[in-house]
Amino acid sequence: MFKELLIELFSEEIPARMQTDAAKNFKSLFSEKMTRRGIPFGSVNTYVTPRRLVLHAKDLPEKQEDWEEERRGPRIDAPSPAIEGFLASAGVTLRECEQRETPKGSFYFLTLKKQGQKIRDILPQVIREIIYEFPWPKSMRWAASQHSWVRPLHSGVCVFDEQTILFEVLMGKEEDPDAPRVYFNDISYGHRFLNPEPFKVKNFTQYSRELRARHVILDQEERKAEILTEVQKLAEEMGYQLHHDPGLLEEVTGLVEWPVFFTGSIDPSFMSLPPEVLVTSMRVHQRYFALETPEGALASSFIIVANTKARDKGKKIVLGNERVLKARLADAQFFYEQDKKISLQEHAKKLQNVIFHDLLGTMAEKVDRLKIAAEFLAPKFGISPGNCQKWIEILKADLVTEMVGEFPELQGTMGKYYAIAQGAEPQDAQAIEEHYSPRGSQDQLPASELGRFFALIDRFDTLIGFFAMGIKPTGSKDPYALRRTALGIIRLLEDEKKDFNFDDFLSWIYNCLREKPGIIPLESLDGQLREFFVERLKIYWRDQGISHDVMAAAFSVGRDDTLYVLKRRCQVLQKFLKSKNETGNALLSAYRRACNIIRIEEGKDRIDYRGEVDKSLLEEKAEIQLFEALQKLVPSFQEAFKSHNFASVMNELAMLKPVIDTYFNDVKVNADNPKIRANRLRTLSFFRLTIEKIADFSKIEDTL
Amino acid sequence: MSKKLSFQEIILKLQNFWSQQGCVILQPYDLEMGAGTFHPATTLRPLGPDPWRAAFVQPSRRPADGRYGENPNRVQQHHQFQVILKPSPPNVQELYLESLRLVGIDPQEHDIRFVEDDWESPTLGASGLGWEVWCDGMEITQFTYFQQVGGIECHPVSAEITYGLERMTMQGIQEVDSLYDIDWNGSEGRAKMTYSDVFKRNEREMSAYNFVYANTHKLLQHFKDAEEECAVLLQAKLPLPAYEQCVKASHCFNLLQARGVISVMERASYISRVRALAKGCCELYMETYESKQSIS
Repeated sequence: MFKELLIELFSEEIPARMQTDAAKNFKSLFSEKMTRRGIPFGSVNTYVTPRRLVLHAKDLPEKQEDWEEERRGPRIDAPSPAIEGFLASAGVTLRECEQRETPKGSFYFLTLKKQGQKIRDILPQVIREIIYEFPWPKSMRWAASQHSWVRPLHSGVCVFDEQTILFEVLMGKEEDPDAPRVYFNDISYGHRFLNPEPFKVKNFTQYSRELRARHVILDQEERKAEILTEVQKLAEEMGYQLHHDPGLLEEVTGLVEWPVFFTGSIDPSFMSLPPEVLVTSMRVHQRYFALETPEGALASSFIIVANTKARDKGKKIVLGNERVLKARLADAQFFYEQDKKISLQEHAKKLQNVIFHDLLGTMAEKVDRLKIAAEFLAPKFGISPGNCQKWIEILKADLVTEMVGEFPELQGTMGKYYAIAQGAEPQDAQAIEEHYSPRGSQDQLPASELGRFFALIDRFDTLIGFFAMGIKPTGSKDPYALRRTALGIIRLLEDEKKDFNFDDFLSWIYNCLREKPGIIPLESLDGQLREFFVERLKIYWRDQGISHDVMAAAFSVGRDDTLYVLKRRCQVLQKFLKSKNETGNALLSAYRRACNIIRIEEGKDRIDYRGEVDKSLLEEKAEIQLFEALQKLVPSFQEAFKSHNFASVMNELAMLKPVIDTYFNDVKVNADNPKIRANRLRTLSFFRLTIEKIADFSKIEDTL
Repeated sequence: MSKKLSFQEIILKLQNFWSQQGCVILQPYDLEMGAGTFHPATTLRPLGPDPWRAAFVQPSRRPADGRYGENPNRVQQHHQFQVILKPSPPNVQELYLESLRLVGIDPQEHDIRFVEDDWESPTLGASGLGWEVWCDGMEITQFTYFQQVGGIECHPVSAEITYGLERMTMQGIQEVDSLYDIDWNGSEGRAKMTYSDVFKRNEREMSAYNFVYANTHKLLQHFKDAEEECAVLLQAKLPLPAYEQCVKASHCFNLLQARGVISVMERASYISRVRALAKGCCELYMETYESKQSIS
C-alpha cells in the first residue's frame, strides 16, 4: 500500500559548487512541505548532476489523513481592514478565531480543519512551493520569468506509484506569453551529447538504470567514488600517486555526468616553476588532477576528467588541453620572471596602494602596525626584534606581485620563493609562507618560530582592528572571516608554552589605531574581544571533547591563565570529573555535601561561615588533616600549572578525596559545643572555597 | 575530412546561422571598446520590453594585453562575435551548440562544458549569470543571461553569447598553437593570409602606443571631456550620443591603466565615474523609451 515518488528537475548546467547543498535543501524542503501537511514518508534520497536535481521518496501513503492547518492572523488591535482581509482570505468569521498571547503580542489564530486529499493531487502544489522557495545562493530569471532558478529550468518528471502526474509550474505572469512554463510528465533525457534523446520514466530503479545506459551516473557519491578510483588507477599505472585534493574532486564531480579520463603532459620547459604554481594553475584554471612521483615531487603528467567519450579516443581533447595549459604556464612563467626583476623590498613600497580595509587604511599601514607590535613582543617570544623587522618589511610584499594577482591563493608561497631567489635561507623564508597558517581548523600550524609569531601578530592586528572599528561577525554574516581568524589565534596559542596572552597585543595595536575616526573605547573593545574569544573557545574546545560545564568551571578561575594552561586545566578537570573517574566523582559529591551543609546551617543561623579557621579549636585528627591538606593545596596546584606539571595536578586533587571522606566519617560537624560547631562549619567553608579556587565545581553538572 | 574553416569563413558561417535565427546582422561599432557588450545593441537594447535579436563582430581592445606581437595567446585587439537574444529563447543552448557544429566543433570529438561564470561589468553597472563554455579546457565563449544593465533590471531577460573568435579558432577548429598561425582567408600560395599577415604589425605598433606613447596628460583630459560631454547630452535628453561619450571615457580609462598611471585606489573611483555615465544613459534610454509600435 505504500508508494514511491520520483521527482526530477531538469535544468541548464548547475554550478558545481552549489550542487551538494542543493541536494540537501531539496530533501529538507520536501520533508518540511510533507510534514506540514501531515503526510508521513519513509526514506528520502536526493541526487544531483550538472543538469538535474532528483528526489526519490519511499513509503508514501496514497491519501493524506484529515489534518489541521494553523494560521496566525493580525494582531487583535490591528486596523479592521487587516482583520477583515484575513477573515475573507480564510472564508471564516471572527467568532471562529481564537485570541492568543505570543512573545510578540496578542494575535488572532485560526485552526482550519482540512479534509485529506489524494497525494497525487497534492504533489503539484508541493513541487510548486519547492521551486518557488528554493534557497539557491544565487539565482536568475530568464526570458519573461518572475520566479528564479539557478539556471533556466526546462522540464520535470513526477512519477508517483508508477503513474505520471501531469502539471505545469508557471515561472512568470499568467497573461505573459513569454513566461516560461515548466511541464512535468514522465519524460527525461540522457547525457547532453551522447544520448540527448528523450526516454520514458516508470519508476526509480528503471530511471537510474536507464540513465546509466544513457551515460549519466545519477548518484553524486557514486560518481565521486568512480572518479577517485579511476584517477588513482591511472596514476598508479604511470608509477605516480594522486596529489591529494578533495576540493577538486568535489568540483569535478559536479562538472560531469559521465566522467571519461585522459592523461596529458606538462611541457618540460615549465617544470622549473615552483610546484605550487603548476598545481594551482592546473587546479584553478583547468581542474586537472596533479600527480606526484614516489619521492613526493610533482610529476610532469596530469589527469583530465572530461564529460564525454570522443570518437577519436580523445586525441583532440588531450592536445587541446595541453595547448591551454601551455598558454597558462607561459603566462605564469612570464609573471614569475617579471616579479623577480625587482626585490621584495621594492614590491613592498606598492603596499601603500593596496587597501586593507576602508576604515583601517592600507596594507602598508598594517605592516607598520605589525612592526611596532613586534618591536615589543618579539623578545617575549624569544626572537630578536631586529631580525623580525627585516622580515615584516617583506611579509606582505608578494601581494602586489603579478603572480599573486593571478593566483591569490599563492600569497605567502610566492613571497617565500621570491625571498629565496634574492638570497634568503629557505628555513628563514618559510616564515613568510607559514604566517598564513593555519588556514582552517584542520590546517597545520607554522613549523618555524618566526612563522608562528607572525601568524599571531597578523591575526591579532586583523581582529583587534575590525573590532575597534565596530565591525564584528553577526549571525551567519562574517564577511571578513573573523571567526576563522580567532580560531587561528586559539590554535596557535593553545599549544604555545610561552607566557603569551591576549592582553599583550591589545594595547600595542590599539595605540597604533588610536587616530582612526570612529574607533571604540579601549575598555569596551577589551570586553567585546574577550566575550568573542570565550564564545569561540567554547565552540572549538567542545568539539575536542571538553564539556561546557567543565569549561565554565575552569574559566571562572583561569582568567589569568595562558591559553596553554587554561586548556590543560580544562583537560585535567574533564578527565578527573567526567570520565567515570571514581575519585573525581567522590570528591564532587563531597564538595556538594559540604555546600549543602553550609547552605542549610548558614540559613538557620543567619551567619556567613566564610572566615579564618581557628586552628586551636580543631580536635579530631581528621579535621586537622583536612585543614593541613587544604592549606597546601592551592599553592601547590598553582605551582603545578605554572611548571606545566599536569600529572601532579590530578594527584593533588585525588589526594584530597580520602581526607574529606575520613572527615565526613569521623567528624560530627554539628558539634554540641557551639564554638567547635562554628569552627567546623568554617573548615567546611574553607574546603569549599579551596576547591572553587581550582575550578568552580558548583558549575559541574551530573554526567548521565 | 573537409578542409578546416578559415577565420573569415567562421565569421560568415556564424553570421549566416544567426541571421537565420532572426538576428539583425550589424556591423562593428565604430568606436574603440573593450568588449562587444559595450555595443549599444547589447547595452541599451536589452532594456525595455520589445524583442530584439542581433549578431555582429566587434573588435575588442584591451590595451594592457598588448605584447608587441610576441605572445602567441595575447593581443591588445581581438575579435568577439556577439549574439544578443531578447527574450532568451528556451533552446538557446541548443542553438549555440548547433552553431559550434556548423563551424566544425563537434561535441562528439571535443569536450564541451558549461562551467559557472557569473559575468559582471563594473563600468557598465551590468551583471548576469551564466557560464564560460569550455572546449577541451579552453574558454571559447561567454554565455550570459543579463539580469541588470546600467543598474536597471532587465525584463524580459536577454541571452548574450560572446564567442572569442581567435581562441575558438585556435582551439576547436584550426588547432594551432599560436594565434598568429590562424589561417585568415583560406587561400593558398601568395594569396594566403594568416593572422600574422593581417595583424602582427598592428599589434607591435599599437603595443608601443598603448604602453609608451599614449599621452597620459591628454588622455586624462579626454576622459574629463567625454564625461562632461556625456552630462550635457544627458541634459539634452539624447541618450544615444551620450552613451558614445561613455564608451569613449571607458576606453580612455583602459589606456590610462595600460600606461600604469592609475593607482589601485584611483581605479575604483574611475570605474565608478564610468558607471555613473552608463547608468545615466540607461536610465534616460528607458525614460525616453520608444517601443516598436510607437516608431512605426
